[in-house]
Amino acid sequence: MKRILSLAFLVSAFSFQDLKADSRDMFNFEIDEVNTELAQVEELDQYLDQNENVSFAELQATNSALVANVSDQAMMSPAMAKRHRVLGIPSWIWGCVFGVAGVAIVYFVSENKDETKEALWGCVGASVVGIILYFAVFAAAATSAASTI
Amino acid sequence: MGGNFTFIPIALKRILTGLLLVFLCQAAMAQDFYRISGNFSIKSKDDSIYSLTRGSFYYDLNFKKVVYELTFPEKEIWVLSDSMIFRMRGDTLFEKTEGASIVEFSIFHLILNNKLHDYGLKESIYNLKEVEKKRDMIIYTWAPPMVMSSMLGKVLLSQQDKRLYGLIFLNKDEEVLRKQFFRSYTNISGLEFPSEIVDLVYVEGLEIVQKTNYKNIKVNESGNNAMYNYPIPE
Repeated sequence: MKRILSLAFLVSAFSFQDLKADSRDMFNFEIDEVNTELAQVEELDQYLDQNENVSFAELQATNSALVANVSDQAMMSPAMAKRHRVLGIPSWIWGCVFGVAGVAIVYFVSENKDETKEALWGCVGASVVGIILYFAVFAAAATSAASTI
Repeated sequence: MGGNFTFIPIALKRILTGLLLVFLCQAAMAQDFYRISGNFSIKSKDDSIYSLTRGSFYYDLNFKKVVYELTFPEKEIWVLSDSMIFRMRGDTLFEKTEGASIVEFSIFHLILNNKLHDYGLKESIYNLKEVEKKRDMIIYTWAPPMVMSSMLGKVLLSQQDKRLYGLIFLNKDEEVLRKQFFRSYTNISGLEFPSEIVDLVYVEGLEIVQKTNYKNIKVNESGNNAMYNYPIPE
């Protein structure tokens, strides 16, 4: 009986240790990974340290690579970044599948500039792929027609 | 015998001098911090969209308004007051948002009230459920009251060297909603301030990464009253 109780204690002690190990591991994070993720805006931040009065609009007007894929909206908290996705579907899919209509849906429902931009890119991407496929099929059909003649 | 009599007052004098010094040191350390300001830079990445927001912040315990003077991407003033957020461009109010009470949980309020080490959870609705020591870290588990456990999840708080290191917010199913890390503490006139805060937020299967850096921190600044008590438009 004593042995069983000791064993039960040991098992529970080990499982307790496991839980504790998990909670400590949850606080592990790599700052280097965060810095790598944010490298582009880090560069922009350093540029603004040297050029304090330069605005986003001025950088955009000169097609600066520093503001490529950078939002023109201020973001003070990650809570603000909560996606304004229509029906929870990524905006680029709306643009990709429904074209201009999808972009319009995202624009009117989400009322969010960045989401609309994403939908627009989806629409453009789908159009480019469509054109390439059209020419590829057309070329293939022309080649096979020529070979049969 | 006479030597003993002279010895006692000298010893007493030394003890009193020592006590006075300790008292003066404590008084100097315990000076009231009521006002804080500085520069900030917030970098974030949400899916494939980056964001950079820069400017200055002002907070005074007497006015309870967090004032952000943004310089990038656009010149704007943000005033966080009680449960409202006001956004102004020039003198024009262009956005007014209602939300939860955010000022009391702003790091500026917590730091000035010496509550950052427990993130103010001690005086919140959360109850301390567990404390565990893991190597260099002490981890506290805070749980919401039973009546709210169907809506709210636990909060894990870790401390390193008695300073707040990390926060993990869980939902009711114990899934991670948000992780926050407080780094690179600096001592400004006796006030400990984390000059870097990293946020990892998990929304709809995406991880939003945000890093906030603070610099040029001023404590108990005497001028600039207009910014600390920025007028809120009617």
